[in-house]
Amino acid sequence: MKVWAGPLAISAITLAGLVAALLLDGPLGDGAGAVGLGVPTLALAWFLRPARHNRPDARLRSCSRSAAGSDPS
Amino acid sequence: MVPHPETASVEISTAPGADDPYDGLHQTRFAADGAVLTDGPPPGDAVMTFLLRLHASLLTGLPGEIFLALIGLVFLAALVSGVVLYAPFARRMAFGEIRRSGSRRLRWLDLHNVVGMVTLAWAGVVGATGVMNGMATPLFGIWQIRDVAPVLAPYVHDAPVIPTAPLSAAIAAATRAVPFSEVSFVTFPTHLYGSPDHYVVWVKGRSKLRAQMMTPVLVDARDGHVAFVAHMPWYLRALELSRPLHFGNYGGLTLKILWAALDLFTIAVLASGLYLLLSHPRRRAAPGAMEAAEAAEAAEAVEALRLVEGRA
Repeated sequence: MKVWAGPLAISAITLAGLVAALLLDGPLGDGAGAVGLGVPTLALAWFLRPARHNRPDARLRSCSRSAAGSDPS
Repeated sequence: MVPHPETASVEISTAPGADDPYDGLHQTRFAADGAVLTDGPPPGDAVMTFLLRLHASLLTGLPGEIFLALIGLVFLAALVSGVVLYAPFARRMAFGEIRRSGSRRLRWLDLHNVVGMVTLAWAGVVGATGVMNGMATPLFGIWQIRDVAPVLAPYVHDAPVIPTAPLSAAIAAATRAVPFSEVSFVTFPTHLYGSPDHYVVWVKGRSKLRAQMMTPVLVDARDGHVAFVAHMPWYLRALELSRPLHFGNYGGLTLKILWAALDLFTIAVLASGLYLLLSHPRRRAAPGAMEAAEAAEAAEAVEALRLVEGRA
């Protein structure tokens, strides 16, 4: 079930936003639509961001710095 | 929705004869104060019209519409299969995680899964409403044959009458016949999508939702009484609601921009799916080298497992 939590949450927000935009007049409806599609778009922007901390060389540098910091000499 | 008095306008489209086709119309548009805004052939955007026809029917009319509806069903099946396959791949990973240190194929697999799952609901809505839109012509045909043709049958051989009932009276009668409605447009007596003896007053609801739902009301063009209210069946109501949900033109400019962004993400999912299919080790291997392909696939699986285990 844990694997479905994220996709279900994003899908629920998307569907609620799309339907609310169809039901609500004026800026409220426009805002609901923007939230409904804005959340998945922002989530993708976050997931696809360049992640330096994932690169092996970055991890290595991080470990080296830690080791250097703990060196008593 | 009450139109703003400064932006409201009325369009009158005329043709030389009552039964002439719509390709030679003359259109005059008036502002609410009576000033003429435009006068001449109906303004149109040739590029957008071409793109819409290409998108809706591949420029081939009804066969193209049916074909695209079938393609929409295949697209929905692909979404379902993607959901079924998602859990085994993502069981030991965080949502949105992309393994950047593995092979290129592994990275594309994660990208395909993440973008596909995040855009799943939107893609499902656009796919399902696309299937509905592809079936529009047959669905309207069913309604016309079953519900409208029997009503119009007594008039079908009449020549189009010259109306004597005032248009304003016909509009008032139609909006009285359908509660909480306002007029959208009126067709004068004609055999083309109308009746030779009636005005067809198309009314719509006043709320944002009900404004998508049209109801044609036949008003006698001689005496102005309502002859028939052609309530639409549920499948045409579903079709009417599926239009904005397919085109995304109902929530302002922000929604349109986000719609375009999700379009691009969906294209990325399709492209990555094709890449994963074509780069599959078994597909690339020669018939005699199946063992090597299986070994490569196993090595890739081990690599994926090792990366996941390292993170867990």
